[in-house]
Amino acid sequence: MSELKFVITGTAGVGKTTAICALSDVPPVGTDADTTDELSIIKSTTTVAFDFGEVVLDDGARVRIYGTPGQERFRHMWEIIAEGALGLIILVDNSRPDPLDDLMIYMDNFKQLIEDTGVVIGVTRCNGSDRVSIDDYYSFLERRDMFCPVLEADPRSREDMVVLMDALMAMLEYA
Amino acid sequence: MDSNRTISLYGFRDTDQTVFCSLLSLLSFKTNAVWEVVEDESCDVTVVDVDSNQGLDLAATMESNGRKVIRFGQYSSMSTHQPCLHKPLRAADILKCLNSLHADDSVQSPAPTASAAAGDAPRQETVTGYRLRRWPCANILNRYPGSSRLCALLLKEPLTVEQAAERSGIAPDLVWDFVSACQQQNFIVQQAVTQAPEPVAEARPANAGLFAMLRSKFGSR
Repeated sequence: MSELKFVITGTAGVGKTTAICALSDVPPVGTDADTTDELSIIKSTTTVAFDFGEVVLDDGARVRIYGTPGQERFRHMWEIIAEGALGLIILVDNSRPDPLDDLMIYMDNFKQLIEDTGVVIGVTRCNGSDRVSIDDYYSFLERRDMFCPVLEADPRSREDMVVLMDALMAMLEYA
Repeated sequence: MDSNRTISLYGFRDTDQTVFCSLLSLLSFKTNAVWEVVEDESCDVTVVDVDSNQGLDLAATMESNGRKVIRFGQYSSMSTHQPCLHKPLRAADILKCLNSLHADDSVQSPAPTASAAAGDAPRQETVTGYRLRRWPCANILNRYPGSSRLCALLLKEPLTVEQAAERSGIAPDLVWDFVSACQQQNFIVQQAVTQAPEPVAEARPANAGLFAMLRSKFGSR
């Protein structure tokens, strides 16, 4: 039986590992290493291969939730992790200089997975004075003939992450 | 529903007319009669925009001629004891107004309308559909169990309330409430859709059972 898995991706520091922690039944298995680049300003370690958590279902089946490394220099891992996944969550840090550009990097790189399955976008670090609103994300996607849920999300909040997962599963089933 | 009625609009701006027709279509399963918007002066009811030129005078003249009139306008231009709709149009007000008119004359046999008299006149094929502009916020999602199904369906393509109910398995009145809640937040747009027979239900995706277990595990509805 093939592995049941979802993938969470997004820029470094956006909260992918935190999001996995919020959903997982077990402490996430990680491949963290000390940060050596400019990222060290915001976090001391970063994921270099992948990390994953597990959700154990009533029938004993295990669904894994993988997080990709954020930095583009690890993008060779993205394709490996995406193989056979059931769906994709892209987390976008709205406080970064160009979050829409960030989004496109992941939409492009996971294009095949998105076409084969589905995607939802969780926008983190939102506040009232954001330069880019949720409506801007929808307009941006619509101009590219893309339609998918875009929701504000705090990766620390299990409730927010469950809403993202629920939206993703609804899209996979009904859209 | 127990009868067919016709309604005409006088002095409406294009946008108000579009909204009125759309809401009337949306309310079709809630009204006590089947209402059709016509341009025929012999209609059962005329809705007059009393803020338009000669609107007030026309409404008064029609009433003195025994015609049923609903006044449509700003609060300040209305009398509370006459059938009226306030700007901006609200579905609940239209429903209340039409059902109250119907109750008033339910003892009388309704006059046959042009389309009813024609017998088997084909139903209009193009109807109002609804498409989500964006995924609604949590306070709407939490109010309607299974709303994520509706969201997925309505984000993909415009559907009528009936189509959305059929495909999601959610009761039409709940779908209608959901659509209304989304409309109030400007999360939904209206688009014309062709009413076609619903396709035979497709087999559910292979992972439907898995997703159901995941939802149960996460406690999502």
